[in-house]
Amino acid sequence: MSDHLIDVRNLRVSYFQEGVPADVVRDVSFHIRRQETLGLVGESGSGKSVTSKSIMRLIADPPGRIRGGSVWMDGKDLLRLSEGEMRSIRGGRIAMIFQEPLTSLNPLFTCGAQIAEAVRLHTRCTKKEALARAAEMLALVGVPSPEKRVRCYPHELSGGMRQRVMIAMALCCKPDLLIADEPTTALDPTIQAQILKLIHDIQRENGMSVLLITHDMGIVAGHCDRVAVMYAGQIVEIADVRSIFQKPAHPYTRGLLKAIPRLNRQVDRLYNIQGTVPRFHQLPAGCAFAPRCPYRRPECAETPPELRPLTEDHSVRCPFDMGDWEEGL
Amino acid sequence: MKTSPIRSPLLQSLQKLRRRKTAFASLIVLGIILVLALSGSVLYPYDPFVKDTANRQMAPCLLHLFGTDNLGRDLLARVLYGMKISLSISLASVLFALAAGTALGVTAGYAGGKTDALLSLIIDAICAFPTILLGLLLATALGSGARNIMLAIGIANVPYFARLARSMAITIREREYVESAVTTGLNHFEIILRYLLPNMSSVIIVQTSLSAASAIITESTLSFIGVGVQPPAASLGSLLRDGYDYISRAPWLSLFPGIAILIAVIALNFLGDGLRDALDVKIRVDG
Repeated sequence: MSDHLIDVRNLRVSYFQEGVPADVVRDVSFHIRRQETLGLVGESGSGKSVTSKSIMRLIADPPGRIRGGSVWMDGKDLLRLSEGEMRSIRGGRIAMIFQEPLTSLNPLFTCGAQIAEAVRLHTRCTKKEALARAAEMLALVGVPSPEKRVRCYPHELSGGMRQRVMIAMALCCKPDLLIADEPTTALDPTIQAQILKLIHDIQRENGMSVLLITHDMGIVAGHCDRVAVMYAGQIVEIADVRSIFQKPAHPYTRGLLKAIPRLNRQVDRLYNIQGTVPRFHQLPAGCAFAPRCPYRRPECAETPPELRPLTEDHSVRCPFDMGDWEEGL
Repeated sequence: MKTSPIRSPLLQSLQKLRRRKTAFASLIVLGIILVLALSGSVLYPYDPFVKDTANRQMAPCLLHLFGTDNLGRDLLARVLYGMKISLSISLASVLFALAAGTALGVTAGYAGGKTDALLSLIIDAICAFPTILLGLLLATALGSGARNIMLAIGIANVPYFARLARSMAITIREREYVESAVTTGLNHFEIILRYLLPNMSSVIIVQTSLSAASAIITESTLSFIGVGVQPPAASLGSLLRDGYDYISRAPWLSLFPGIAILIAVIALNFLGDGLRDALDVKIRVDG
């Protein structure tokens, strides 16, 4: 058995605006190994969330459509499963938590009822057993006095507590993959650390894989095994976390790293990458990053670069090597 | 963080309703009306159909609180009977509209695309018919009578529920908790049943009580112009019509049915307002 839990190959997703397609995810390929955490980073609108939703087949059609590629899990292409088969995958084998814990719970049902519902969808048990399991899950995710909390409505809990409830709900059926779409963006830094640690602990205990979507390079450094950097719907660099931070091979990755403020250095202005992400229906013909790239060459505007391997675990979508860049400077 | 003591949701809603004085009073008034109307001759000694030609058009007195009509029938008994018929027609037609309209609207809003376009077209087409005209049409086609105006009012009310349910479905469909429900593996039917409908229930219930009030008026109108309830049966509208002929000599014959309509409609409207708050889980009983 391969150690790949999920293999995404040549994924292409378009959103249609008045009949005109815009490719928001273009030729994205990556894999997630068992028990590892893959970070997916990039700016807003780089296609991170769309990529993760495509794995779950959550792209609303219309306006979006998965137009090509495949997502392999245990020898099956998730994109070709029937809706019924897909439903047993969702929540059963792949679970997802969202950015907005405040609005991700149904306001009309108690937390316990919602977790119990998820439990009963994938396991055969009575309502009572499911509720007991819900309380158990709440205890596991560190919610104090879980027996009481199962009877609470979402609005009676704080944001951090609600995100814990979401995690409990996502994990109640022991999924193989947890997709966490910016799970801590809406939370305080202290709560953020707690939630990330919680996900990490459960991951080690259950041996599950995590796809962590974020735009925070600090979170990436602390919690990911490998990282995929997305720009304008493409993966521009994918590598283990050490290589990303020590030997970034793509100018965009370098820019991202340079943009992290350092506490031990005095600067007047924080670094930022010039320009903005190109709009999807006016992408440049060549490299999508070329207009903003400090190392660009004339040929960059003409031929779109391919993702090329540097080492076994490090690929980059830029035809030039580190050394070549320095010359260009 | 404090938690409210555990009570059943129904009990909590009732408690919240009690805090709204007008709404609770309306509920009590409606309750009394219902009990009186349904109990008929058990609580009130007069029969609405027994003629007493010796005592025709008696003014209200202790013996006949609302007086008697031109055939000597006790008007209070007839108003109670008419109330029963009016409320039944109103409730039945609104329940029909509720079921059909909500189903249509939720399907249209949730499915979107071509399904939505088609269903919306049907809803708009129904809406183009004025209620009165629809009532006249059905009465001509199927004959007048309680059942047919029930149908007419029901159909005429479908668009209100359908449009409301459609817009609610479109809003709720986009909420994060629906998306997160999809990720737990629920199917469309379960999502509609457990997420869409409960989250729109409060507006639908409010619309139900408002529609019930307007249905009483529509029913009265149809009965007043003669296509509604046919004698010997009577509704509040037909009582009003019967009294209208003698308005200068015996004004109470129209006055009391009119007041009855007024009270029922106002009570239903107030109740709707109160229910909106009472059904919101976010408003605490002990807040």
